[in-house]
Amino acid sequence: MTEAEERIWQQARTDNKALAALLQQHYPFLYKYMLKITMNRNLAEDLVQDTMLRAIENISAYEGRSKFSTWLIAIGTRLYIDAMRRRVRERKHQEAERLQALRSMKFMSAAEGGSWPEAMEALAELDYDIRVPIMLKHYYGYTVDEIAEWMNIPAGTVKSRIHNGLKKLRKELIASGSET
Amino acid sequence: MAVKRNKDGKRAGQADAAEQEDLKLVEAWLQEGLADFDEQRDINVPSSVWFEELALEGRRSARRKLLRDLAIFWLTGGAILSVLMLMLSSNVVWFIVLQVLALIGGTGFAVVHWLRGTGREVEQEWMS
Repeated sequence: MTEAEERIWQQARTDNKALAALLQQHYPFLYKYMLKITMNRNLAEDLVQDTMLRAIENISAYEGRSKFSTWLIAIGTRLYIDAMRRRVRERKHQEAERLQALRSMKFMSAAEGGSWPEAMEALAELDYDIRVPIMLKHYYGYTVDEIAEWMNIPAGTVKSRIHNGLKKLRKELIASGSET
Repeated sequence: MAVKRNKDGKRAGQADAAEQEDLKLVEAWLQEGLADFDEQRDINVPSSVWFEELALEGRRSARRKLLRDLAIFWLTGGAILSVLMLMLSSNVVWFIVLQVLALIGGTGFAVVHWLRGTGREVEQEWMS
Protein backbone atom coordinates (compact mmCIF):
# COMPACT_ATOMS: atom_id res chain seq x y z
CA MET A 1 0.00 0.00 0.00
CA THR A 2 1.36 3.43 -0.94
CA GLU A 3 1.56 6.30 1.54
CA ALA A 4 -1.27 8.15 -0.23
CA GLU A 5 -3.51 5.06 -0.13
CA GLU A 6 -2.76 4.58 3.55
CA ARG A 7 -3.64 8.22 4.27
CA ILE A 8 -6.99 7.85 2.45
CA TRP A 9 -7.79 4.62 4.27
CA GLN A 10 -6.89 6.10 7.69
CA GLN A 11 -9.15 9.06 6.91
CA ALA A 12 -11.94 6.73 5.79
CA ARG A 13 -11.97 5.02 9.18
CA THR A 14 -13.37 8.12 10.84
CA ASP A 15 -14.60 10.42 8.06
CA ASN A 16 -17.79 9.55 6.16
CA LYS A 17 -16.87 11.63 3.10
CA ALA A 18 -13.49 9.93 2.75
CA LEU A 19 -15.11 6.51 3.14
CA ALA A 20 -17.78 7.41 0.57
CA ALA A 21 -15.08 8.54 -1.88
CA LEU A 22 -13.12 5.31 -1.37
CA LEU A 23 -16.23 3.20 -1.99
CA GLN A 24 -17.21 5.25 -5.02
CA GLN A 25 -13.75 4.78 -6.49
CA HIS A 26 -13.99 0.97 -6.11
CA TYR A 27 -17.64 0.67 -7.17
CA PRO A 28 -17.07 -0.15 -10.89
CA PHE A 29 -14.41 -2.76 -10.07
CA LEU A 30 -16.66 -4.48 -7.52
CA TYR A 31 -19.74 -4.26 -9.73
CA LYS A 32 -17.97 -5.82 -12.72
CA TYR A 33 -16.62 -8.61 -10.51
CA MET A 34 -20.10 -9.32 -9.14
CA LEU A 35 -21.64 -9.29 -12.61
CA LYS A 36 -19.11 -11.85 -13.84
CA ILE A 37 -19.41 -14.27 -10.95
CA THR A 38 -23.19 -14.09 -10.50
CA MET A 39 -24.19 -13.75 -14.19
CA ASN A 40 -27.25 -12.06 -12.72
CA ARG A 41 -27.65 -8.28 -12.78
CA ASN A 42 -30.15 -8.02 -9.90
CA LEU A 43 -28.19 -10.32 -7.64
CA ALA A 44 -24.97 -8.47 -8.52
CA GLU A 45 -26.52 -5.13 -7.57
CA ASP A 46 -27.81 -6.50 -4.27
CA LEU A 47 -24.45 -8.05 -3.46
CA VAL A 48 -22.52 -4.87 -4.31
CA GLN A 49 -24.69 -2.94 -1.88
CA ASP A 50 -24.42 -5.63 0.82
CA THR A 51 -20.64 -5.77 0.36
CA MET A 52 -20.33 -2.02 0.73
CA LEU A 53 -22.53 -2.00 3.84
CA ARG A 54 -20.47 -4.82 5.34
CA ALA A 55 -17.27 -2.92 4.51
CA ILE A 56 -18.62 0.24 6.18
CA GLU A 57 -19.63 -1.68 9.31
CA ASN A 58 -16.23 -3.33 9.55
CA ILE A 59 -13.96 -0.55 8.31
CA SER A 60 -12.30 -0.31 11.73
CA ALA A 61 -11.24 -3.97 11.39
CA TYR A 62 -9.54 -3.36 8.01
CA GLU A 63 -5.85 -3.03 8.78
CA GLY A 64 -4.59 -2.35 5.29
CA ARG A 65 -2.64 -5.61 5.02
CA SER A 66 -4.22 -6.25 1.62
CA LYS A 67 -5.44 -3.80 -1.04
CA PHE A 68 -8.86 -2.28 -0.38
CA SER A 69 -10.13 -3.89 -3.61
CA THR A 70 -8.95 -7.32 -2.40
CA TRP A 71 -10.75 -6.76 0.89
CA LEU A 72 -13.96 -5.91 -0.97
CA ILE A 73 -13.59 -8.96 -3.20
CA ALA A 74 -13.11 -11.14 -0.12
CA ILE A 75 -16.29 -9.79 1.50
CA GLY A 76 -18.27 -9.99 -1.75
CA THR A 77 -17.14 -13.54 -2.50
CA ARG A 78 -18.15 -14.69 0.99
CA LEU A 79 -21.55 -13.06 0.67
CA TYR A 80 -22.13 -14.62 -2.75
CA ILE A 81 -21.05 -18.10 -1.63
CA ASP A 82 -23.31 -17.85 1.45
CA ALA A 83 -26.23 -16.67 -0.71
CA MET A 84 -25.75 -19.51 -3.18
CA ARG A 85 -25.46 -22.14 -0.43
CA ARG A 86 -28.78 -20.89 0.96
CA ARG A 87 -30.33 -20.98 -2.51
CA VAL A 88 -29.07 -24.49 -3.18
CA ARG A 89 -30.82 -25.57 0.01
CA GLU A 90 -34.04 -23.92 -1.14
CA ARG A 91 -33.68 -25.19 -4.74
CA LYS A 92 -37.01 -23.66 -5.72
CA HIS A 93 -37.11 -22.55 -9.37
CA GLN A 94 -33.33 -22.23 -9.22
CA GLU A 95 -32.48 -23.35 -12.76
CA ALA A 96 -35.31 -21.39 -14.37
CA GLU A 97 -34.30 -18.27 -12.44
CA ARG A 98 -30.65 -18.68 -13.44
CA LEU A 99 -31.51 -18.99 -17.12
CA GLN A 100 -33.86 -16.02 -16.94
CA ALA A 101 -31.15 -13.87 -15.30
CA LEU A 102 -28.62 -14.95 -17.90
CA ARG A 103 -30.97 -14.14 -20.79
CA SER A 104 -31.63 -10.75 -19.24
CA MET A 105 -27.89 -10.03 -18.93
CA LYS A 106 -27.28 -10.99 -22.56
CA PHE A 107 -30.19 -8.82 -23.65
CA MET A 108 -28.89 -5.84 -21.69
CA SER A 109 -25.43 -6.43 -23.09
CA ALA A 110 -26.78 -6.37 -26.65
CA ALA A 111 -28.94 -3.33 -25.88
CA GLU A 112 -25.86 -1.47 -24.66
CA GLY A 113 -24.13 -2.33 -27.94
CA GLY A 114 -21.68 -4.78 -26.38
CA SER A 115 -20.97 -8.37 -27.32
CA TRP A 116 -21.31 -11.44 -25.15
CA PRO A 117 -17.91 -13.17 -25.22
CA GLU A 118 -17.81 -16.93 -25.75
CA ALA A 119 -15.77 -17.21 -22.57
CA MET A 120 -18.68 -15.72 -20.60
CA GLU A 121 -21.07 -18.16 -22.25
CA ALA A 122 -18.86 -21.09 -21.27
CA LEU A 123 -18.36 -19.78 -17.73
CA ALA A 124 -22.11 -19.37 -17.32
CA GLU A 125 -22.49 -23.11 -17.93
CA LEU A 126 -20.23 -23.93 -14.97
CA ASP A 127 -21.51 -24.24 -11.41
CA TYR A 128 -20.91 -21.16 -9.28
CA ASP A 129 -18.46 -23.01 -7.01
CA ILE A 130 -16.26 -23.76 -10.04
CA ARG A 131 -16.74 -20.44 -11.85
CA VAL A 132 -15.72 -18.33 -8.85
CA PRO A 133 -12.30 -19.94 -8.19
CA ILE A 134 -11.47 -20.01 -11.91
CA MET A 135 -12.14 -16.27 -12.26
CA LEU A 136 -10.37 -15.36 -9.05
CA LYS A 137 -7.29 -17.38 -9.99
CA HIS A 138 -7.00 -16.92 -13.72
CA TYR A 139 -8.45 -13.47 -14.23
CA TYR A 140 -7.82 -11.62 -10.97
CA GLY A 141 -4.62 -13.49 -10.09
CA TYR A 142 -5.42 -14.34 -6.45
CA THR A 143 -3.68 -17.28 -4.80
CA VAL A 144 -5.30 -20.64 -4.12
CA ASP A 145 -4.93 -20.03 -0.36
CA GLU A 146 -6.77 -16.70 -0.56
CA ILE A 147 -9.59 -18.26 -2.59
CA ALA A 148 -9.81 -21.21 -0.19
CA GLU A 149 -10.13 -18.83 2.77
CA TRP A 150 -12.83 -16.72 1.11
CA MET A 151 -14.83 -19.75 -0.03
CA ASN A 152 -14.27 -21.55 3.26
CA ILE A 153 -13.05 -24.76 1.59
CA PRO A 154 -9.65 -26.56 1.64
CA ALA A 155 -6.95 -25.37 -0.79
CA GLY A 156 -6.85 -28.85 -2.36
CA THR A 157 -10.55 -28.56 -3.23
CA VAL A 158 -9.95 -25.18 -4.86
CA LYS A 159 -7.12 -26.66 -6.95
CA SER A 160 -9.19 -29.62 -8.11
CA ARG A 161 -12.21 -27.42 -8.92
CA ILE A 162 -10.02 -25.11 -10.98
CA HIS A 163 -8.38 -28.02 -12.77
CA ASN A 164 -11.69 -29.76 -13.55
CA GLY A 165 -13.30 -26.48 -14.54
CA LEU A 166 -10.51 -25.66 -16.97
CA LYS A 167 -10.82 -29.12 -18.47
CA LYS A 168 -14.55 -28.54 -19.03
CA LEU A 169 -13.81 -25.17 -20.61
CA ARG A 170 -11.20 -26.82 -22.82
CA LYS A 171 -13.87 -29.21 -24.11
CA GLU A 172 -16.16 -26.24 -24.76
CA LEU A 173 -13.40 -24.42 -26.60
CA ILE A 174 -12.61 -27.48 -28.75
CA ALA A 175 -16.33 -28.00 -29.46
CA SER A 176 -16.90 -24.38 -30.43
CA GLY A 177 -13.74 -24.45 -32.57
CA SER A 178 -14.94 -27.51 -34.45
CA GLU A 179 -18.38 -25.97 -35.01
CA THR A 180 -16.96 -22.85 -36.68
CA MET B 1 7.89 -55.10 -21.75
CA ALA B 2 10.18 -52.42 -20.41
CA VAL B 3 10.34 -50.84 -23.86
CA LYS B 4 6.55 -50.94 -24.11
CA ARG B 5 6.26 -49.27 -20.71
CA ASN B 6 8.71 -46.61 -21.81
CA LYS B 7 6.75 -46.01 -25.00
CA ASP B 8 3.51 -45.80 -23.02
CA GLY B 9 5.17 -43.49 -20.53
CA LYS B 10 6.43 -41.29 -23.36
CA ARG B 11 2.98 -41.22 -24.94
CA ALA B 12 1.38 -40.36 -21.60
CA GLY B 13 3.98 -37.61 -21.12
CA GLN B 14 3.23 -36.21 -24.58
CA ALA B 15 -0.52 -36.30 -23.84
CA ASP B 16 0.07 -34.46 -20.54
CA ALA B 17 2.18 -31.82 -22.29
CA ALA B 18 -0.53 -31.38 -24.95
CA GLU B 19 -3.16 -31.04 -22.21
CA GLN B 20 -1.08 -28.46 -20.38
CA GLU B 21 -0.65 -26.54 -23.62
CA ASP B 22 -4.43 -26.65 -24.17
CA LEU B 23 -5.10 -25.44 -20.64
CA LYS B 24 -2.80 -22.48 -21.22
CA LEU B 25 -4.81 -21.66 -24.33
CA VAL B 26 -8.01 -21.90 -22.28
CA GLU B 27 -6.55 -19.49 -19.71
CA ALA B 28 -5.63 -17.00 -22.41
CA TRP B 29 -9.09 -17.37 -24.00
CA LEU B 30 -10.73 -16.75 -20.64
CA GLN B 31 -8.62 -13.71 -19.87
CA GLU B 32 -9.32 -12.20 -23.26
CA GLY B 33 -13.07 -12.84 -23.05
CA LEU B 34 -13.40 -11.47 -19.51
CA ALA B 35 -11.27 -8.43 -20.32
CA ASP B 36 -13.54 -7.75 -23.33
CA PHE B 37 -16.58 -8.03 -21.09
CA ASP B 38 -15.09 -5.59 -18.56
CA GLU B 39 -14.06 -3.08 -21.22
CA GLN B 40 -17.53 -3.03 -22.78
CA ARG B 41 -19.31 -2.39 -19.49
CA ASP B 42 -19.97 1.26 -18.89
CA ILE B 43 -20.89 1.20 -15.21
CA ASN B 44 -23.27 3.84 -13.99
CA VAL B 45 -21.64 4.93 -10.72
CA PRO B 46 -24.08 6.50 -8.22
CA SER B 47 -23.43 10.03 -7.04
CA SER B 48 -21.15 10.81 -4.10
CA VAL B 49 -24.24 11.79 -2.07
CA TRP B 50 -25.56 8.23 -2.39
CA PHE B 51 -22.25 6.83 -1.08
CA GLU B 52 -22.20 9.35 1.79
CA GLU B 53 -25.72 8.33 2.81
CA LEU B 54 -24.73 4.67 2.56
CA ALA B 55 -21.67 5.31 4.76
CA LEU B 56 -23.78 7.19 7.29
CA GLU B 57 -26.46 4.48 7.38
CA GLY B 58 -23.80 1.73 7.58
CA ARG B 59 -22.08 3.35 10.54
CA ARG B 60 -25.44 3.93 12.28
CA SER B 61 -26.42 0.30 11.78
CA ALA B 62 -23.01 -0.85 13.11
CA ARG B 63 -23.51 1.32 16.22
CA ARG B 64 -27.02 -0.09 16.70
CA LYS B 65 -25.68 -3.64 16.42
CA LEU B 66 -22.94 -2.89 18.96
CA LEU B 67 -25.44 -1.42 21.44
CA ARG B 68 -27.76 -4.38 20.98
CA ASP B 69 -24.90 -6.86 21.54
CA LEU B 70 -23.78 -4.96 24.64
CA ALA B 71 -27.34 -4.92 26.01
CA ILE B 72 -27.64 -8.69 25.47
CA PHE B 73 -24.26 -9.18 27.16
CA TRP B 74 -25.16 -7.11 30.24
CA LEU B 75 -28.64 -8.64 30.56
CA THR B 76 -27.25 -12.19 30.33
CA GLY B 77 -24.49 -11.32 32.79
CA GLY B 78 -27.04 -9.81 35.18
CA ALA B 79 -29.30 -12.85 34.95
CA ILE B 80 -26.42 -15.26 35.65
CA LEU B 81 -25.26 -13.18 38.63
CA SER B 82 -28.80 -13.04 40.05
CA VAL B 83 -29.13 -16.83 39.87
CA LEU B 84 -25.74 -17.22 41.56
CA MET B 85 -26.60 -14.81 44.37
CA LEU B 86 -29.93 -16.56 44.89
CA MET B 87 -28.22 -19.91 45.05
CA LEU B 88 -25.52 -18.63 47.44
CA SER B 89 -28.15 -17.36 49.85
CA SER B 90 -30.31 -20.48 49.71
CA ASN B 91 -27.85 -23.42 49.35
CA VAL B 92 -24.06 -23.03 49.64
CA VAL B 93 -23.29 -26.64 48.64
CA TRP B 94 -25.10 -26.35 45.32
CA PHE B 95 -23.45 -22.98 44.77
CA ILE B 96 -19.97 -24.57 45.17
CA VAL B 97 -20.93 -27.52 42.91
CA LEU B 98 -22.07 -25.09 40.23
CA GLN B 99 -18.87 -23.05 40.52
CA VAL B 100 -16.70 -26.19 40.16
CA LEU B 101 -18.72 -27.36 37.13
CA ALA B 102 -18.42 -23.93 35.53
CA LEU B 103 -14.66 -23.92 36.14
CA ILE B 104 -14.23 -27.38 34.58
CA GLY B 105 -16.49 -26.49 31.65
CA GLY B 106 -14.73 -23.19 31.02
CA THR B 107 -11.26 -24.75 31.18
CA GLY B 108 -12.33 -27.59 28.88
CA PHE B 109 -13.77 -25.16 26.34
CA ALA B 110 -10.61 -23.00 26.45
CA VAL B 111 -8.35 -26.03 25.94
CA VAL B 112 -10.42 -27.37 23.01
CA HIS B 113 -10.54 -23.92 21.43
CA TRP B 114 -6.79 -23.49 21.83
CA LEU B 115 -6.06 -26.97 20.39
CA ARG B 116 -8.25 -26.34 17.33
CA GLY B 117 -6.42 -23.10 16.60
CA THR B 118 -7.95 -19.74 17.06
CA GLY B 119 -10.93 -19.30 14.78
CA ARG B 120 -11.13 -15.69 15.83
CA GLU B 121 -7.65 -15.03 14.38
CA VAL B 122 -8.77 -16.37 11.02
CA GLU B 123 -11.82 -14.11 11.16
CA GLN B 124 -9.67 -11.11 12.02
CA GLU B 125 -7.24 -11.92 9.23
CA TRP B 126 -10.15 -12.07 6.78
CA MET B 127 -11.52 -8.74 8.00
CA SER B 128 -8.11 -7.07 7.70
